[in-house]
Amino acid sequence: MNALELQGLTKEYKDFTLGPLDLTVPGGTICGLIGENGAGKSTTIRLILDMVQRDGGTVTILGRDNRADPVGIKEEIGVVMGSDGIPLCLNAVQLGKVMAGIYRSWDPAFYADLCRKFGLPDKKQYKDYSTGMKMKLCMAVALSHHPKLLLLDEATNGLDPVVRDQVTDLLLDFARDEDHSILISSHIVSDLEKLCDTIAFLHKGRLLLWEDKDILRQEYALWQGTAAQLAQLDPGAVYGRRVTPYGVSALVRREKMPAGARLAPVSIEELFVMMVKGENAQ
Amino acid sequence: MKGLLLKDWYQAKTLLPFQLAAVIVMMGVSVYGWRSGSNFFMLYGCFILGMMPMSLLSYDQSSRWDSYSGTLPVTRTQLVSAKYIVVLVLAGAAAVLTCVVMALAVLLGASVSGTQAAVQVIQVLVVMLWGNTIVLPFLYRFGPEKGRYAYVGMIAVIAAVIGALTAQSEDGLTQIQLLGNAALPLYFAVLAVTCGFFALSWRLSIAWCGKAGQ
Repeated sequence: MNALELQGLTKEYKDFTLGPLDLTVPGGTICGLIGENGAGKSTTIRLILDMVQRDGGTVTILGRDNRADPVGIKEEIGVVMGSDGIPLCLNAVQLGKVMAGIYRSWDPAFYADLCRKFGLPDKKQYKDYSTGMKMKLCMAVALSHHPKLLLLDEATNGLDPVVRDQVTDLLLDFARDEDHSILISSHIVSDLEKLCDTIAFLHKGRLLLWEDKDILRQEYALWQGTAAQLAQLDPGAVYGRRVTPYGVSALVRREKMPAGARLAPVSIEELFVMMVKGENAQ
Repeated sequence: MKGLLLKDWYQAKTLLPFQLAAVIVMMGVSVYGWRSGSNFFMLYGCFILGMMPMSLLSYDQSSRWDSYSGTLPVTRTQLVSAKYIVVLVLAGAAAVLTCVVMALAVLLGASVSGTQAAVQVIQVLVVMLWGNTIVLPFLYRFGPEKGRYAYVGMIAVIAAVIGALTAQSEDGLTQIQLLGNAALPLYFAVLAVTCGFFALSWRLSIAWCGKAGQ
């Protein structure tokens, strides 16, 4: 069963239109939603949670429409929206008690274990936590009712490499279960490159690309040469370019390149940046 | 729902000790005020107590709980009801404090009849409930920032009404009788009407909850 299905999802604001988005997160996978600031990542997650009213399309979570049984569905979802949302004056123990009164399936022992594992102080108020501690507490809250789907909005931003590594391990551990899935949005592509099975590129409210990470690496490559050599390539093969005083790099589709062309593997970050530049140039 | 109430309790306990202290001081002063026939400090203490739900909503906004709660398995009705239950609990606490103040005043030599005591408690409840009846829907519709202006405006109107009543009072500034010397049944009728509007306000707040962020 798919953990999440978006079909033709749209939302219109005065100065911004999101969608139509078509995206599926199969069970047991991690999908990375990559986009610049303002691309529509957070709006997408809010639409999934029905925190914002959609203008069109459907959202199916764990086989159910997200509006059919919102409370029941949210029992099965863990959400981290940056480090926002936790009452600033609460400590970890108090927060655990509050959440125990909200989630039917809250597991206080699991929560206490996670807090201990993350080294979170019991009595310190949330406002006095460091950025990394805040994020770890948010993760502990999102996981302690044993959700099947995690929705993480910019959950790794502002973390130092050590904490980021801890969080990455935790998420990989969570996704090891075939019933567990994650949709994680970020503009820090390197984090998602490590974590995700599939990648979706969101740009100015439109989904530029949604594909398996390994397939993306196989299908796209970096070509390097001169401007004159670039002009000789099939324009349909070139998705973006970067011109420097030393030459030209271009994001190309391998299958459309002539045999013998010198191509280098492309990272997801490069792929995203070049693709967005290509879009902006159009 | 239990979790939402617990959150508000923790916040009130941690964030509002000065407000609570101010209420206790006001009530303490009103013991002496009552002996001279004034219930100004008592009602003022209730105003302060009545501001607590608004403060709690402001804290929800500053920590972005108002948005985060949309990710939790709670309904809008539960979110709003938790705040209205806080109002009722505070109104109950204000009524109890009023009774304590009057009991202390009697111990100190003041004369308080049963009717006076009942009228006083009803006045306190009416003041507590009306403030929130008017303000909470505004807070849910426009957010705590703009809603605060509505509350200040409402206090100004009530202050003007109290001022007008005080000016007409035989006992001058020390005697504030919101409903004059009306009969006790009338006070109960006013309380019933107030409760009706409080219920309407609750329904309106549920309808408007979350609109500020849309």
